[in-house]
Amino acid sequence: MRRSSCGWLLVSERLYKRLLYLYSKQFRAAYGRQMRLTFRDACREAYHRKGVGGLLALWLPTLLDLIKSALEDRARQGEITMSKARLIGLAVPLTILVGSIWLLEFIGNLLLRFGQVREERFWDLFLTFWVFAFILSFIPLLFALLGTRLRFHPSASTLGRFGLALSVTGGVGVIVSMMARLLLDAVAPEPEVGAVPWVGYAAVASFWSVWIGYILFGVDALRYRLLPRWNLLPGLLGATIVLTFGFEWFGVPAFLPTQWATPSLFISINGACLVLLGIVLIDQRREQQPIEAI
Amino acid sequence: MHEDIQRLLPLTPTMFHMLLALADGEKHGYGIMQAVEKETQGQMQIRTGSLYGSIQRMIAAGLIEETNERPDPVLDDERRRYYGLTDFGRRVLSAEASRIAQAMKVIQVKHILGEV
Repeated sequence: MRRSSCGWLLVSERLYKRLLYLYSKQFRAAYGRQMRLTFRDACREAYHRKGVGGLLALWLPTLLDLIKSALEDRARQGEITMSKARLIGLAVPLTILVGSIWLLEFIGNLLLRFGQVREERFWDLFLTFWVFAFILSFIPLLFALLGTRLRFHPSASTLGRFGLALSVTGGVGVIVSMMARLLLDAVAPEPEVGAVPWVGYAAVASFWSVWIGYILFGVDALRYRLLPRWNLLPGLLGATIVLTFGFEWFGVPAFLPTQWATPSLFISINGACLVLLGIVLIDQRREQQPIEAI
Repeated sequence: MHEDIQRLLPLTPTMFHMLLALADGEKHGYGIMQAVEKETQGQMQIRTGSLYGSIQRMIAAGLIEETNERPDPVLDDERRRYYGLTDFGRRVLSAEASRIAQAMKVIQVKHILGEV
């Protein structure tokens, strides 16, 4: 086996090993090793048959199945009922997780653009994978938002509280409209889905609410120094997302160089902002100090 | 025993095909995945997460068990676990197969297959 192919397989196996932490401790102890061995076999066969494309094609359904089965496992263990403290604690890893997923898109884009992988089918697979990952990332993002809101609710002013509440509501809206869309796709033929425009409007409105909420919270963070450092981050995050999708939907303004104003670049900035925000929240958790009320 | 079997019927498609895959001998997780895909001609693909979730439930229900036998210990990775049908699992599979066979008779009488 060539060194590069070993690399792809090794990365897959390591990533899968990390993802197994989504399951309960009991389940991991009982089946974690077997799952890794089984996935390793599946990866090797997929790679042997169709190369990198086969590996990517294996990952998408595996990821969806992993999330579904991990949720089922957690529900069986009775771990899905969450306390306030737990949600606040979860905000840190989930914010970093979502940021990392978005950064991976940028890295994948760079690898495909400047690496040796130039075939169109890899791009198609990569884009499909990325769209699914981006949509699914709203689920951990919602929990991250809930935790952030619970953490900063006592210290933020009315503007910040409103911003956080708007973000959470937007997150719920995005997920509900995605589910509604899936449901409509499943029960109605395509033309009838198109005849239900409110699903699309609700999704767009919810999506913007998340980021406008972040901007409002960002203004509050700058005014009252809510974070121990890097108070610019929440506002920057919201603003860059608004710019990203604003450019995507309404076009890039003439004074900006179009080769740089790509969604990929902006999403990488968003991803980096989320990762840094998660790091700031770690720092705040370590300080273990009660947040002062204003 | 009869009531225990009836309580589990009808089996989910995943459980049914996993039991069917194990009917001709013990297999490890990946072996079960491959057998199910082959026996359903690619129409059903069980992913790793669902596979081990089902294995956990089926062991708890007494349908399958871990076995110590290794079909080919020299070639095989010794860390793998093999699973096989229990007597109860075989009876449940048989009961489910009878139920499907009964349905097949009705399908044949009503010429449903000819309409596909």
